[in-house]
Amino acid sequence: MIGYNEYVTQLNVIYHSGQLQDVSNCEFVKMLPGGDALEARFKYISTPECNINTSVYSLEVLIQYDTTFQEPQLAFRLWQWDHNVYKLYYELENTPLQTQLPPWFVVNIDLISNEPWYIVGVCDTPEVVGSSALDQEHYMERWMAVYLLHWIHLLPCK
Amino acid sequence: MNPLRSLVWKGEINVQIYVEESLLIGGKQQQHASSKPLLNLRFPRDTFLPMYLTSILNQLKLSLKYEIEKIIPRCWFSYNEKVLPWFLPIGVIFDMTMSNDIISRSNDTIKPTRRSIISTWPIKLHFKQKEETDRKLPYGFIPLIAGEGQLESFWMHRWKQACFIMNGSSKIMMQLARHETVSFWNSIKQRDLDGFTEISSKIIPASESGFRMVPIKYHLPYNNETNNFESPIQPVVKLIQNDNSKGPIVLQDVILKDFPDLIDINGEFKGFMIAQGIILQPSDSVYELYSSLLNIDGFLHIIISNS
Repeated sequence: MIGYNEYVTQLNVIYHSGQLQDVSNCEFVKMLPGGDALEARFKYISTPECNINTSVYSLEVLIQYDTTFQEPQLAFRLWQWDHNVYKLYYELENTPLQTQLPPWFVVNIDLISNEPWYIVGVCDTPEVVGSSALDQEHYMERWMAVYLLHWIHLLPCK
Repeated sequence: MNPLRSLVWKGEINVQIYVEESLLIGGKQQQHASSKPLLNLRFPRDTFLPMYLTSILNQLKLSLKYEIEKIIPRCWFSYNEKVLPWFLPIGVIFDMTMSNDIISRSNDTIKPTRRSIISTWPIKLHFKQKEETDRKLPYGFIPLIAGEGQLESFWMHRWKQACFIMNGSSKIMMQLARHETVSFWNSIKQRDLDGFTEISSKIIPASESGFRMVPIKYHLPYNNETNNFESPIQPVVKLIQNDNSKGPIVLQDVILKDFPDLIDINGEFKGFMIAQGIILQPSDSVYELYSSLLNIDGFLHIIISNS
């Protein structure tokens, strides 16, 4: 659990540290107005086995604060490159991305600003990240490593 | 068991299903058909619309242009062209869209009219083909791509939130045995109040003093001027008086924190609050309201109108 103000401070530290920007398939990272949510995009190319056709995706990631659980929350959605335009792609089940997400992710579709996003459940965050009492100062750093960085840089992008 | 709880559980809504012409065989020539209800049904208040989707489509299948499996992930219901949030219990959406009707009906108690006894809810089924760009899908639309499993997962997530709000942790929810979560979900589908109460009572604190906070969501009524339904407000509601005064926390105590305009210069409460189709009183105990009127997702949903 992390208080809102502490979350905002640590999120900004991460944003300015360039950790996300340094991921090789990162297309952009931006802090949203208000300074309490961060949006990023990662290129992702899928070449299914037995299929010479590749699919080009852009994985849009949103990090925001869940006020109920008082934890950071990861949301994402997939855009597929199709006829020179990115189209929102809902059917996660039909993409190899699903096998690349951590198996312990509990994912639901819910609305953020009236648009559907895949949202990773946050209720077991303290068990996953480790209690904030242990090392409050690096809570967001640990969260970012476990929830995003350890799998996002493994996505094929060439 | 609380007798009001049983009455609320049995509450039903008369629904008229209209269907968008592009979904019907004959397309635009079916304009006439799309302007009249194709089905008249009755849904329990405390269930979710997608639970009836396959049944609705099966009853319509002779008139439908596409296969049912193709329609389900890309269809939605609307009221006055606004997407209905299927992830809320049916009764909550009804109360949001028909709050004016509920309020005016409450004035008919002395001399009931047909309108005050029979109320119907006209909703329309829409569909967007996959070939059309996803950007054209309306705001507020959540695709049902994983059928009932998606609905169940969404509902479980809501209960985890409610559990956290009440107990300060979701552990009770997460430690339910698989057979318990299955029977909890089945109790809703099978309209089994005893089964629902058996599991929910493990999550809901047994007494008023056991509540850390009360899971409540405020909704604003449907509004012609907005493009979609407003996101709900989730207030912080504790059942402990701040000023050492005795007596239960009443609705007015908590509502005015988020809606101070609901009281006029004479100190009179001037708004309406509706839950489970019932107009609430400012003096109602919040604990009693939650115990009697909680919805199937563990929240007490209150529609707040200042009209």
